[in-house]
Amino acid sequence: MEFLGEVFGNLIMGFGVAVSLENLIYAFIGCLLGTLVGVLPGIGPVAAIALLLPTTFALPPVGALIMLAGIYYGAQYGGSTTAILVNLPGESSSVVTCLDGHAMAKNGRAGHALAIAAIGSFFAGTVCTLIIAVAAPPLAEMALKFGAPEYFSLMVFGLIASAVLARGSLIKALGMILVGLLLGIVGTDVNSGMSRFTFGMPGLSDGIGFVVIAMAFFGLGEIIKNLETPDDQRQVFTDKVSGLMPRWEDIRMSAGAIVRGTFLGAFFGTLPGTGPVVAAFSTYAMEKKIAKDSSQFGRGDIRGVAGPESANNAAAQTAFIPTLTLGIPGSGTMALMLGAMMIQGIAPGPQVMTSRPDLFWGLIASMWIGNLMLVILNLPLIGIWVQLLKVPYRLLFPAILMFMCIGTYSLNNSIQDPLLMGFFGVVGYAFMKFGCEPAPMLLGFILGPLMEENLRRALLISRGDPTVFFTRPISLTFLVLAAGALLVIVLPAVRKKRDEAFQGDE
Amino acid sequence: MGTFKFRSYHQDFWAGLMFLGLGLLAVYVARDYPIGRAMRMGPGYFPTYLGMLLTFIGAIVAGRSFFTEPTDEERTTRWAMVPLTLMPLSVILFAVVVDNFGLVLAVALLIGFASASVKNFKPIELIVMYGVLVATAILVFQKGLGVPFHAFWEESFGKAVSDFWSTISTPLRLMFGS
Amino acid sequence: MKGLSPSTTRAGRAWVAVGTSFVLSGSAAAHAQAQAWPSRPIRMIVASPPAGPSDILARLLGPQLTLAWGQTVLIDNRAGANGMIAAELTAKSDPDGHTILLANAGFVINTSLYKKVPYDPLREFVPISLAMSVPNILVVHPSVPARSVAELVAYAKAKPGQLAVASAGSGSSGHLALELFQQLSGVSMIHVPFKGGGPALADVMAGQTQALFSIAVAAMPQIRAGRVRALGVTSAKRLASASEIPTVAESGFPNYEVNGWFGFVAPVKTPRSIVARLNTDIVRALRLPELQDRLAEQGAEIIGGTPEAFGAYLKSEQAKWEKVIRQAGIKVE
Repeated sequence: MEFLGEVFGNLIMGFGVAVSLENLIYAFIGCLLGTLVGVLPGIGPVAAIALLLPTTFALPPVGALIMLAGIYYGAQYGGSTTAILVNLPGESSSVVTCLDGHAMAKNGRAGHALAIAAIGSFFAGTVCTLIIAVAAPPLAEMALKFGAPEYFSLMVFGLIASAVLARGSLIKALGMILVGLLLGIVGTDVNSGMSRFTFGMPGLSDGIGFVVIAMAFFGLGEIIKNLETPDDQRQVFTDKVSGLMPRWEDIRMSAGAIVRGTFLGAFFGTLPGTGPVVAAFSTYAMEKKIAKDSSQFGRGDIRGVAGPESANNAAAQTAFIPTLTLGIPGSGTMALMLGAMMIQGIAPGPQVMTSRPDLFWGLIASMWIGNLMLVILNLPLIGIWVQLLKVPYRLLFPAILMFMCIGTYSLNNSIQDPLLMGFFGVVGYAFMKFGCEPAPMLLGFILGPLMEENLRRALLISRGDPTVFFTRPISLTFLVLAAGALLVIVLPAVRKKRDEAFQGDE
Repeated sequence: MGTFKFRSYHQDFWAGLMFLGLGLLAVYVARDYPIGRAMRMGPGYFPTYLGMLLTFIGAIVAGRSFFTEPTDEERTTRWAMVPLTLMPLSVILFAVVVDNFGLVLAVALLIGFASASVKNFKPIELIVMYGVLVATAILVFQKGLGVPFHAFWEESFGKAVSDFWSTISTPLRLMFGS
Repeated sequence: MKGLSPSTTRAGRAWVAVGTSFVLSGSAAAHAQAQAWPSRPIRMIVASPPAGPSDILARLLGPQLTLAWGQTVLIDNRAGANGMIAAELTAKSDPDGHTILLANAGFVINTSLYKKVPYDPLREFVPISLAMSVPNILVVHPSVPARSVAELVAYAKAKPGQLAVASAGSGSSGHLALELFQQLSGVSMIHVPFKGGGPALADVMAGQTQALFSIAVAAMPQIRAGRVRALGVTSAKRLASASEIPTVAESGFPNYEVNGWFGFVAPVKTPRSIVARLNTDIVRALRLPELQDRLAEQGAEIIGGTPEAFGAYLKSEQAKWEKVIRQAGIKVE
């Protein structure tokens, strides 16, 4: 009780620091800019944050932090908006949102998808702000328990679960995961420093960017596919747009997914590196498996948006834990935020909580303010976004194409990324024509390099002893979960095959 | 089970072929990377074994197409060759031109070639769209967000041409020897 | 030169061809502009993404230099390929003083690490000034019984090839610091590379790996919090901000010195009068007290100097690391 009282007191102090008219304006501007830039197709949250960071450098520290938080949440939510509206995942964790979110948009339910994403995100944001306030240090300690063996086992679990994302053939999904794993290998091998699959191009030595692959397979491939139908018959989005605000039934249906997503997201978010991705799609996999009727997943089931979006935002929130309490950024985005804080003369780390409590609690308060601003700002914006879909496709797609080109260019300020996107767009279209789905490929692409890196590192540290994966409890837990997931996936497929085989005999 | 028959209209045949090709390519490119042992893997271990696994899966997927009749969803459909050529081409033109000649020309090429895949575009519509997009690119990205673009060439058109030539001639010379 | 010089590789040949065509078109322009420098915004190319290590320095210096030159200083982030992309781009830019590169230690080390380096750090660039020196700190997990560098050497000798030492990556300054340390002390340890300094430091804090040569700015907060123990700094002198930590050199390895650094260079044909002007203003900006304070608290040392001194430093650093890398047999690519 005493502890909770202290936390409560600290939170009040934090709000005292953060809530002033000036800071609320910063929060609003941050959210607005973050959303507007993040929503541009081709500009993922990382790029949006990187592009907008310099605007905060001139502000006083607390104001800058608050605006940063606004930009961060705005960019994340803007990224989800693009995923839902135009099927372009701006970052790894919104790959899952594309599946059902965009399907909903095509069915005329973009408004519902966007609204449930906003509501789920706000719920997750609120819960996770409290989690950070109450339990940041112990959660950070837990994150530190993850060494190379634990990460490897987590990746194995993640890769197996990613097969659930496939709607069609399981073996083709497996093939696509392998294609993703191989694409992920391109670049400098962390363990040996050797360049692999770079074909002598120095620009490839850092690997192919996620955004490039995502834009190519989802964005460019999708545009070409939409242009297959002649202009007069083309109807990418249905004319019948059912209301903007979700129906009571939608909320009732999503509530469980939102709560489950929030807690899974909160847990995975603290793990550096892959937290948000694993959070988003393990939530999706779980929702798909526990749903009584899972036939609509991949065709526009609102739970397929609500769960992953809540998980995504919960993880985006708890990702601050290692950054704030240890001073160690868990992701590229967090490294950017850390750098921005350092430019403000704030060095996050073990001491910040005690030496600058005003900043620490002020930041936590501003996280919640950022989340609140986001809902206030975005619920009205949904109407505008949905209107955008009424723009004829012949005008929409060149604009999307231009944003994709500029977005990929701005990743490294280099023409190599748009060129690669053009090349992989053709590959992506070919795969699409042969009934191979891009989502499992993207997950292989994200998780594969981490799996290899940590497997080899674990064996290096254990000097070639493979038992480390089974003797360490966390690692063992994930391997058991992985085996369970494998059974859940393979059993129905086998049963179906057998049924088909019997029917075929008749 | 259908009868054994070559079905070029089965998606799985082509999907399998792509997996097979990519798998073999991976194994081939990785042949120079040290493989190491299972307990002390070299940089070649993962790519080689993943490539072999993908080759194997490709063979199964393609092999399956010889025995089963495709469902409607698994049947190959016509490729949209026009957009398939024009979209990547417009992206490539944008990328090659933007550094030396600036956004105004690069976006014009991008929009022009991309829109050529649509039959019923109206010139007025195209011009208005181009104006809006170029203005967005310059005002939002170059001025607002500080992406290092130029609106036009930097110093003189002649210099842009010579810079452009040296940029594209380097990879060309590398490819075809000097 | 054993194949390291860019002009002996195929890429290098094409490169030299491009280079010469630029010299022809560039020198006339450079002459015309020498009088009216700066005539347009100055582009400062930085080999890190926004908010990365060199970007922070660039953004602190930028406003000061804008003031001094009356032209905006544009920071152009070209991260990738260990700084080679940024360096190649700078070498290709017009040598008229409107493009400068904020280079870091990798600038001269790349030539020994990589087979194909698309630039020559000494021949294609003219040094302007060293800006900042960032030493590494050798830290260990508190469970490691060693309390000094000497004790660590003894501990590692008792368990040859068992102590796992993390680094920010193959060829990173922490990795090179480790190699030099092994060469001078004669101990052998397991090098465990990570993707970046953050994950490496976290791994040592968790005790998964036992030691790390970490850049001072990242390590200091963890040392103060008692999560890792500092054994020595890699610079020749102790840090002003943490003078209680001895240097590795004074702990029995007098020749041991490893410094990360940041410094400014320009394309080689930049007129010397402009280089002199760049040097004066950059050094003046570096000496501003607020900048000194901000960077010193992160364990960095600000050093402005003459172009000649920086040139000599580049040369000695290149030679020093070529030897270490050859002896250790490190190869990237």
